[in-house]
Amino acid sequence: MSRAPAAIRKLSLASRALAAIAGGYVLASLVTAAIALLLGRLGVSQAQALLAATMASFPLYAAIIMAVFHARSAARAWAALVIAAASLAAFAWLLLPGGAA
Amino acid sequence: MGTGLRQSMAWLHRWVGLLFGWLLFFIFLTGTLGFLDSEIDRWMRPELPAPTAWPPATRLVTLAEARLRDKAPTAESWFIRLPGDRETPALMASWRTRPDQNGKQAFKDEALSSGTGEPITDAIRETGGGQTLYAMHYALHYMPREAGLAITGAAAMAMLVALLSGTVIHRKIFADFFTFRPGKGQRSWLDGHTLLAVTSLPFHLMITWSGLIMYLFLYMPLPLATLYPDPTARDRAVAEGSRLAPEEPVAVNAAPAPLVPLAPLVARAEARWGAGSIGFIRVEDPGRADARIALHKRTTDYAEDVPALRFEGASGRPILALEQPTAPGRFRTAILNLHEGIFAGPILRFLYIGAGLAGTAMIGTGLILWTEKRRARRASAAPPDRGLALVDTLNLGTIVGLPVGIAAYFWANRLLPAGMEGRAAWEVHILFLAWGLAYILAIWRQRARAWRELCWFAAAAWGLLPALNAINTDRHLGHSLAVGDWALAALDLGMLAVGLFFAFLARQAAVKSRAVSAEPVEALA
Amino acid sequence: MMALLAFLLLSAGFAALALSMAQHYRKLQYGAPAASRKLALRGAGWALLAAAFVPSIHDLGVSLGIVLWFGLAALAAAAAALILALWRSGRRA
Repeated sequence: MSRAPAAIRKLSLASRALAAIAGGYVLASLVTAAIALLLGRLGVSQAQALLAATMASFPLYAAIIMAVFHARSAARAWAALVIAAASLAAFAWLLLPGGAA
Repeated sequence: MGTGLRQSMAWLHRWVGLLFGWLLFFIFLTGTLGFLDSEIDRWMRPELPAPTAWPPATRLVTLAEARLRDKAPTAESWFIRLPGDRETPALMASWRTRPDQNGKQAFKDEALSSGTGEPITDAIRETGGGQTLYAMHYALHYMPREAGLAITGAAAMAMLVALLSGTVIHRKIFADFFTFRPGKGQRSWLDGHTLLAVTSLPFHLMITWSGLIMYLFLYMPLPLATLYPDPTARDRAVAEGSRLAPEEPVAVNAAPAPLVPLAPLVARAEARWGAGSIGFIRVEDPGRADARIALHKRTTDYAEDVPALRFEGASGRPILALEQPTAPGRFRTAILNLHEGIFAGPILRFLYIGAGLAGTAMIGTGLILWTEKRRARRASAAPPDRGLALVDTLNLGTIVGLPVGIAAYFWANRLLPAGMEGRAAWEVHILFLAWGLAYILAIWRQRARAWRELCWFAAAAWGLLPALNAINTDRHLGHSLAVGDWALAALDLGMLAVGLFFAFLARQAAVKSRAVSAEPVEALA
Repeated sequence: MMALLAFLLLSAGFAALALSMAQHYRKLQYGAPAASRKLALRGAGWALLAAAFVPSIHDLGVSLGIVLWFGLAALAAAAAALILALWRSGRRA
């Protein structure tokens, strides 16, 4: 991104910041919910699993933000976020009561 | 971005640090003063009786109970705090009223004489005290609490990102951190920033992460809401996550029924935990058949999670289902206790304050480092850099201006008339007015001169506080040192030390501005 | 008293760790440390840091003692760094 014109650079930066802040937040939320659901299925109290997973979600969110800013381009970061979020959402939906499983 | 890991993290660290640096400086400085909240409360209420040997808890609780039965027989809940630790300088009786037609509840708080049980609150000046200062570090001010919490939560996330990315940048974290090269401009700022960060990194990570855990379901509500769409189930899940067998429910019964005397229950609890071990008593729905009483042990160890002793209020029967903490609940209690440092005795408290100040200084040096780097990279013939000028102004106005504002808060406490309407609110207004004036000075004066002048002003504002205290009250150093009131003596001496620190900074700034004016290029900046 | 002992052990430990690095060792001695001395300094440093746990937890118990250890370690490491910084300027003068 070093040689691109200023306007494109700014746009790409804004897109990356949005991916990190909003995309990262959604992804961290999904991972947290999925872990709590999974541990709940494995016999751990779901309320306790959710508390533990939510406490861990903040360093996780920070790690996602860092990963997005390390990605080679904003587009790649978005693609990775969307794929991860979609698979986690499907997984969580399967485990939720009223879901498919 | 997009190249090596250390480059991308350096970029992220620099910009996250800059965007949130001023807010984080405010949060860290007021939060550090929070470790002294009770001592500041006492300093700002010189009328409070000096700490004495307190009567036994059973006697104190009888006094508070009599006051509450008299003043608030139909309150929704009562709170009695027993003196004997630094948090509680006097016997405190408080209550929350039932909602009125508009659904509004009031919270009333009275300090009582430990001899007679009569309120002494009227004799004490109205002040925000250390609590108002401490509450700003998470709820900010002049805005709804939720808005403040949301903003400080975002700042805490930014801090976490800055800490973690900063650690990644510093590959040779242990090799470099003994290195401090003073008097070398940008290099020294970087060394100082690193030294402050690395030596107290465990504290910085703990305080930031636990700050987020403090309101975790406010900051990360989606998983909870997804798993428990029903609000009642949601509340239960939150309780069950940290406590096994939550409180055995006492069936709602609003019929009037007299409350059993509290003193015998206190005696029972003391038999279990030791004399003087009860810190806090809470009564729900006093005067009703379904009243509940809970006796809480004082926190003496952050890792300790002792369930309260509970009793039915009308019969005095113990509620046997003790709430046992779960593993994640225990962890959460421990890390939140670590955040607040309530358990800390004098040595640990001193270290907490040191670590908090290290964090504050880490943020301050980071902000200055940003400007030093940018200035060093500027070509001599470059046009004026508006971004740099803005950051310079905000840096001075925050790093020195906020301490000036806090000193003004203490001055206001001593100088505002005792019976003034809205006195406590005006103390805070004066804090922000003085801070605002510092920004104006930072905009108006040339940079090097403004640093020097504002530092001298801060030195005077802090250094003269013990003198003002001596003229204005009888709780001055002469008194506190003579009678061994170390908490108040430490505050007065600490204010003096802050004054000396700013005098030192002012001298440094003077040396630097002479060096700068020798270089014509830099003098223009 | 125990806190002071812990602080002294930690300071000595950090000083030894710093001296196990060539750039700091040079401030006291000519040349870089030999590999064996480097190893000995590093070993002594970590051993002293570990030993400081004993006085740290002696009065306060394990949980509070760990907090004390971390707090004192920050102070001791900063003290070691400042002494090394001043040492250099002393030699130069």
